[in-house]
Amino acid sequence: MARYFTLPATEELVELYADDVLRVCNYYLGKRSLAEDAFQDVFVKVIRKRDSFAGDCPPKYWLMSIAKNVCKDYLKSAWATRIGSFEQMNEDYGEKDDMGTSRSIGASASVDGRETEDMYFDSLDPEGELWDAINALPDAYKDVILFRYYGVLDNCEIARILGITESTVRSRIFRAKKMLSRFEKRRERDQEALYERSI
Amino acid sequence: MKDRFDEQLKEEFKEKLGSIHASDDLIARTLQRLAEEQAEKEDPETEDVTLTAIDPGYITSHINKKQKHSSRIIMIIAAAVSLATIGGAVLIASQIRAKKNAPADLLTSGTAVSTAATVSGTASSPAGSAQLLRTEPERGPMPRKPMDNASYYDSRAVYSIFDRELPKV
Repeated sequence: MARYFTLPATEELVELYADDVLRVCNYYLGKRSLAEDAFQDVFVKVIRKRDSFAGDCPPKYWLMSIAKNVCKDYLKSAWATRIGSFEQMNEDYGEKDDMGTSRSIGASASVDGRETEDMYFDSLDPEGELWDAINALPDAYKDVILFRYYGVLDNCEIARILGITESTVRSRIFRAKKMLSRFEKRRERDQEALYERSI
Repeated sequence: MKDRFDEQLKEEFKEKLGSIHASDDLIARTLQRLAEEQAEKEDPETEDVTLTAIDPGYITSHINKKQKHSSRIIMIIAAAVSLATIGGAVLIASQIRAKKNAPADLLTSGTAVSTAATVSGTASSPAGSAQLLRTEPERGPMPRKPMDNASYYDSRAVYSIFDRELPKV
């Protein structure tokens, strides 16, 4: 028999899960100021969607899922697109966001195909960190990676929260990890070469 | 190898996201906004009514602005009407003055000539008066004669003389 979860009062939700929600917002938006705006919108949405909580997952993951959707709406909005293009222009001059991450273009493109993977590697800075590579992943991969490595959930739980099948979760995690490990190997190789050259 | 990479990813998330905390100020602001939202939602009088928070100061300033705008339009219309009235009055006055001056001279001189002719004609003979009456200048526009080439060129010559610039002294 599945466990049934209840949703505490909204004030209590804010007190308990403020950090988690803000982290998710920061993960998707990259900017602290934007994340704080989205943070408030997440809880406003929680008030409105309270009745839709099915109780089949802990409130923390339900909130994380709402936060993910709010952040994606932010990124889709015309305003964010304009800000994004401005930031892209800044990045061309070597600037980075609050978390030291350079967010890449085309990262939120379609998930399928080898072209996406090639585009992903083209968009990455070879000297960047693993966190840059995680941030540059396509959105669908970012979702599963977040719930797997930050939420520490299994495939079944991720599938239920994201509303996709378990096999889709498995394949997305596999592909995301493959891309990230490829990036990591290339980075390690480059670092070794640099080290040898310095010796 | 795979487990090691899993652990590396977990560490990465812990390191990068674990350092982010919601400040008390942000939580307070959020709670305040939620209270406002909830008050709006729970108010039974506002059911099925879209609430819009409008500052009363904004409303009064908006009304004042509209009043100013309409009074300005009225002023412009009044000015235009008075200008048109003055212009019309001046035009009518000038027409009256022109009627008074020009036709009066012409009429008085014409009448005097014809009267004199009539009187002289009457004095000599009735046939003479008839002749005089026949020679009286006809009213209305004179029929225009077609201009022959010579007179046309003559007129052009006159014009060309006037068109010429005077020699500088």
